[in-house]
Amino acid sequence: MSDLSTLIADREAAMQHLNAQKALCEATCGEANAAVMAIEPEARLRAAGVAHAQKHHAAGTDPVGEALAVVPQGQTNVNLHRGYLAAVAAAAQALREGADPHEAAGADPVHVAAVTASWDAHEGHREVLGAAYAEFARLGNLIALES
Amino acid sequence: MSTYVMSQYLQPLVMVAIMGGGAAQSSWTGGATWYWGVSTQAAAGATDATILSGEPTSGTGGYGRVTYTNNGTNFTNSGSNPTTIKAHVAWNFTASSGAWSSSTTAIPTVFLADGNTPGAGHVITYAPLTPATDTVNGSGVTLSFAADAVQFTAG
Repeated sequence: MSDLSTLIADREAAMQHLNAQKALCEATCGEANAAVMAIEPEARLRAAGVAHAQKHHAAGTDPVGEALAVVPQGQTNVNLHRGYLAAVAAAAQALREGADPHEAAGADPVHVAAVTASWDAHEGHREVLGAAYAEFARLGNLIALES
Repeated sequence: MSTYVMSQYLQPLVMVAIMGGGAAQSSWTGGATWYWGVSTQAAAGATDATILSGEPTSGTGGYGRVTYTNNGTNFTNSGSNPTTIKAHVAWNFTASSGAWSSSTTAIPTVFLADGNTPGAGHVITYAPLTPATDTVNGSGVTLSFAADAVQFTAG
């Protein structure tokens, strides 16, 4: 196992990389994210529910099952928001029946478009950013064990 | 229950108040409002900078700090010589609109800061979460804490 000073140096490098990736994300997604964050939280959730349903309907996967899978068993402080799940279910049913998912979920199409645009903007660097967080956290956990 | 860590920002302020600050204790004025944040950085071995770097961004996931008034209703202690302070009023983050850190990286640490902008401001104190395995890995997820669920104990 690496000694503590080496781990700390590695974490510093990982932190610099993470900060660079976060800055890149902000430069790429900042405008799209600001549009989403300007939406009132409950309306934002409904919009995210419809966007999620549309994404998985298009991919041929089950929107409700995919939504539920986000919170695996054993998580203590996290829950799937009921309003969000209701929006996903309503939108998914509407999509199956050829109806309007926005109307079914009570979501503003402009808001849904904003959420989708935010997700799309993020997609190009999502994995790199996620990996940067993961490596930074991994080194932090190793340091915690050594401290 | 978690042993809290005084931030690098706060430690010198308290030191100066204790030694050389005189009776006025003017080096640390406290704060009327604190802001809850979480970090992917483990509390043990952390620095203020790593806590802030490990915090999710206010980006695609819709993460944002939670405003919490610093008063005796929100924070209760165990008496005149307290060893434990509890966050006595339940609180929660706004439900996510995407994964917070774009991965399955867990959130092991909660902290208090003096500003509401993620990744910025001064960290006041932080402590490990139990369990340290919760994740916000998609949209529609609410990270919430019941009354007294977050407890800070003196080390």
